[in-house]
Amino acid sequence: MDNKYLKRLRRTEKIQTVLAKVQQHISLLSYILLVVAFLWLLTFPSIYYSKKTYISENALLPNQAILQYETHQAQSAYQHMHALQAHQSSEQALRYVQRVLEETGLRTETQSFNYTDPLSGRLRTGNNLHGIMYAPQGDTTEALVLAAEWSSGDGLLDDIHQQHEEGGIRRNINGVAQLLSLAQHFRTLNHWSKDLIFLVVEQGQIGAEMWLRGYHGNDYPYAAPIRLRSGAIQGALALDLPAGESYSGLGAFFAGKNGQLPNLDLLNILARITQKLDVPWTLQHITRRTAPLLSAHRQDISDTGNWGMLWQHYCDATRTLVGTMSAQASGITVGIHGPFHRFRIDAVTLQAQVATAEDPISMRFHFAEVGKVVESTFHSLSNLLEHFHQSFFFYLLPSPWQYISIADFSPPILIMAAALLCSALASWWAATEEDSTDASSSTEDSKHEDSVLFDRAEKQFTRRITTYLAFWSKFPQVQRLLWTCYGGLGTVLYLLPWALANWCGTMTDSCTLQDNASWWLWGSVSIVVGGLAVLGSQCPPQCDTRLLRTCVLLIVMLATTAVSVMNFSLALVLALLLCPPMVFLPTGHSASTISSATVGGCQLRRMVLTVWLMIISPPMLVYFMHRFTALPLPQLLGRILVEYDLFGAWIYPLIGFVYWPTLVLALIILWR
Amino acid sequence: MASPNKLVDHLPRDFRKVALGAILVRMAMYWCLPGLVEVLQQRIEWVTPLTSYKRLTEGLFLYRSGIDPYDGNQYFQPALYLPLFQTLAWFPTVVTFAFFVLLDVLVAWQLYQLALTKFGRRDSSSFAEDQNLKVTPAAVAACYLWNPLTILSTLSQATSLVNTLAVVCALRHGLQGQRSYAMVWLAVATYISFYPVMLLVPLVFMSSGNQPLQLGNLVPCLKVFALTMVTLLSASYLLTLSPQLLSSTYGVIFTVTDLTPNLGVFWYFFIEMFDHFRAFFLIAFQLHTFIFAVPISIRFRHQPLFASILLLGIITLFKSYPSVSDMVLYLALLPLYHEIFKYMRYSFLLVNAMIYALVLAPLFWHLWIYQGSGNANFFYAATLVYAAFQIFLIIDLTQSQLRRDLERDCPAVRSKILMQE
Repeated sequence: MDNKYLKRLRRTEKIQTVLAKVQQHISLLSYILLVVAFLWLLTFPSIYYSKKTYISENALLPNQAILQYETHQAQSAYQHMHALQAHQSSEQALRYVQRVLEETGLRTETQSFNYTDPLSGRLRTGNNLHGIMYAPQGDTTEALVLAAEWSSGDGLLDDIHQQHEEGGIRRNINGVAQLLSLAQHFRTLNHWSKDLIFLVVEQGQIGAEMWLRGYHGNDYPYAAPIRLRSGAIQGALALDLPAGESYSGLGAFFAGKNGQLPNLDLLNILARITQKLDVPWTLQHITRRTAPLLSAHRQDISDTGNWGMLWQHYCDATRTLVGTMSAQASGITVGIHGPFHRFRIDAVTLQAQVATAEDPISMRFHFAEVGKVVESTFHSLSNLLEHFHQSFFFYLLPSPWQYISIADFSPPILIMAAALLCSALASWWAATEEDSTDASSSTEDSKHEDSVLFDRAEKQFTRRITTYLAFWSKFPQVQRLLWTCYGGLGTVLYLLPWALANWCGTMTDSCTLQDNASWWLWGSVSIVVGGLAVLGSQCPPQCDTRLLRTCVLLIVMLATTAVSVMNFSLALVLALLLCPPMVFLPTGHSASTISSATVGGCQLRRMVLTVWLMIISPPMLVYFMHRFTALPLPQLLGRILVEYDLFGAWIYPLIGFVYWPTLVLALIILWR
Repeated sequence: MASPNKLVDHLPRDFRKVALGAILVRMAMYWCLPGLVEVLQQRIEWVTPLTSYKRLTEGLFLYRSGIDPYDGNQYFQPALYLPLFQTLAWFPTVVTFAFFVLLDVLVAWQLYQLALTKFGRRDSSSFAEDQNLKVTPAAVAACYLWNPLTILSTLSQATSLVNTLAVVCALRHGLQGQRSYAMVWLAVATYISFYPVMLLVPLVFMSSGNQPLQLGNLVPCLKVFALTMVTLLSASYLLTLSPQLLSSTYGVIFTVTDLTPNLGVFWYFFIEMFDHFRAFFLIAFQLHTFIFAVPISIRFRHQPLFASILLLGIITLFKSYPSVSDMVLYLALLPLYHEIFKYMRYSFLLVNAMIYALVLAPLFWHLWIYQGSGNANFFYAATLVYAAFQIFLIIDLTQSQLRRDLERDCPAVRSKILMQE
């Protein structure tokens, strides 16, 4: 045995001790990573973390044109408003809009659609109307859309609910009137380089989706095709002006379906235009109490009185982030811009806030100012030389003037994924390295160091073979459990509402949304409880929970990271809900090592985790959402289903296929 | 000729069970999920311009209309597919799909035979522990037929399945020592996708019973191979009388003129490339692929089947139009060498990397093509993850096999080597 070789052996021995240390403390590492991720998230609202927004597309040139929408033009909006108020039925109002647009010289077309609500089986019908103004200086290959819906606020809400809330449907008469006056005004201007489409939709987002499908020629059973078309739509603004004497603020609603966002440049030009025109500008009506740019405070932190300012900014930014991110995660937002994003059209809804008595007179505004904002925005959009691109689609907005780019907001979720990975590795090593304890006990025999090393190496090799074989003896059962839970249980949960609607359709005619929603809720809860009972009792005793835990954690990690590239907010919600209980889940044990001695200490942890898992279970989450959004439960459930059925949002299949089965498996691991 | 019933009776019971279930699953999915089939036929992960069934129908239409099928720059597949699929097109479309399912089962049957031969010929110096994990030939067939990727690949009706069958047949006959059959099948595979020509030397070794390479072995093999190639190519020419016969099939394979994105490493590079560098990098890339045949054939000359598996891995990784169906073939052959699995060091990493690559690729594709918020770099990143997985797998397999050889040949160094990890 030459010396060189022994040296090398010692070095590898050292490396292995370090590795063993890492293996020992890997659970601790996962806790630390989790804490780091949480702390990192807390820095998001800080003014020092986000960057100032800037306009990336130079062609947009906001605020460069002289605006010609004045009080004189606004007068026509008032006339339309009064005329529309006189027309009570929606049919009459639609005819009025069509007449005005045609008198202005636009070609119009009406599209009718019907859509069957998946949960209640109720038919929703409506008519969309659009008029096209062909560009005086364009080749009709590109278009911009100005849209308004008939009802103000949340278009997907059930009519009954709205009547219940407001004592009558909140109508967006002002928005339609504004749209008509803008159409008349834009007709007088001759520098548009893109066609302008004026669109009035019924049934809110459903109507908008149907119109877009018709426009893009999707043969869809519910929507009639549209014949009067223009070119590719480059941008869209939706107007939502509730009835009121005057407005005190303009809020942007921008989160689309399945986490899609409009290009940040669109929001940037709106922020600059409203600032120039002195129109108070917010994101989703979340007010800000600090100056827009805060540049002075940013430079001089030590300034007394500055800390209060910074804290105020922090609070406002937190509220903005929570508001916009929950809209992005759920897809539940005000306005009809959501469906546009799915067709690669950047769109924003502008909703005005009705002024109250407290608002100062100087801050109030009405048709004239909104018209100016729209005109100025359309000037900029008309300048666009190519489709919005500039990689400005991944951002978080703590304020209208600051953004967090993808490089800055993705680390926390990656760190959480790393925590899951570490935790998974902990149970993986625990599952695969069975009898590693006796290897270290033989070290005291120091006189033949090399032979000891060789002994250990030999042992390691045999251990590897035994663990390899053990893995293959354990894995099929784990795999079966995973397939039953994620595949079987997931499919049942996923298909349940459709089965219910089908069953309802055949059995009775009078199925209400309420009935179906409660059937669905209780049905899925009982399926999960039944599945838990069956799987828990059927789970073979030799099933290794450590291996199972590894697989479940890896699946959660995969789901979180995969969703994060599509919908960061949803992924963050998923990670925040699932990561901590999964990481704290006990590493598991093989069937042979269950001993009553350890049970006492674990019992408390088990109870706490069980309660925790109950709290984050989907029914509880739905209940919390119901309390938070003040939406009635049936509407909320129906909404989640429509989001998936019509808009392809992932939140529903994610709950059915990943989230709930994961919780079930976590409970099985916990109580095994 | 035996009647079909008798043929089925001849099949071993365990294989029949595996195959019947697989057929049922495939047919059920074809009937119940027509949407999935339609989507899969257009997914670039499953289907490349060289294996697309859609493009095949285009070529068929031109062929039937009496136009050169290679006109129109859509059809790049071998000319002999045309009469075959035209015959199938007389029947309802389900017959064509049933043909693909049949091919799948035939591949599985060849794998079964391959495993039977390989497991039956266990070398005397194997370790006792090799015997512990029972892998039966039927399990090898099941690993292929019941792999979800294989099922999706069949549903996509990628014509690469014919290529898969040819390669597996060549390997089987090679291992059973039927030299000319092996060469004929290798020539068919080469005719279809050219890259399998890399398997020539290992197959010669294999079919001549691991004797050292001599002209006496090589020449008859080459004769059969060349003769089959010439026959196939001249038949193709007589069928189409197309002057573009070679440039539209092998030309596309070599010069990568169709830059439809795929899971490989070529498309992104050649989209970015200036035209005057194109020739140089094409030669460099293709040479890089083919050069692997030499060292692997030399190093593993005593295990030609293993060398073939490694080379198939290299082909999957570096060919100009790879798809998941190539990987499926390669993964299906791995259970034949289950005895080296325990030496693999990165299995945890490998499984995860594969799953991530297969999940991220469609996601990034969606962001790039449909949503417009991402760009080509996103999808390219996913293909890099896929390539990294392939590379790690090849490296890990190679080192496992080398380790096992060393331990078998000189048991004394066993523990020493172990310590070096």
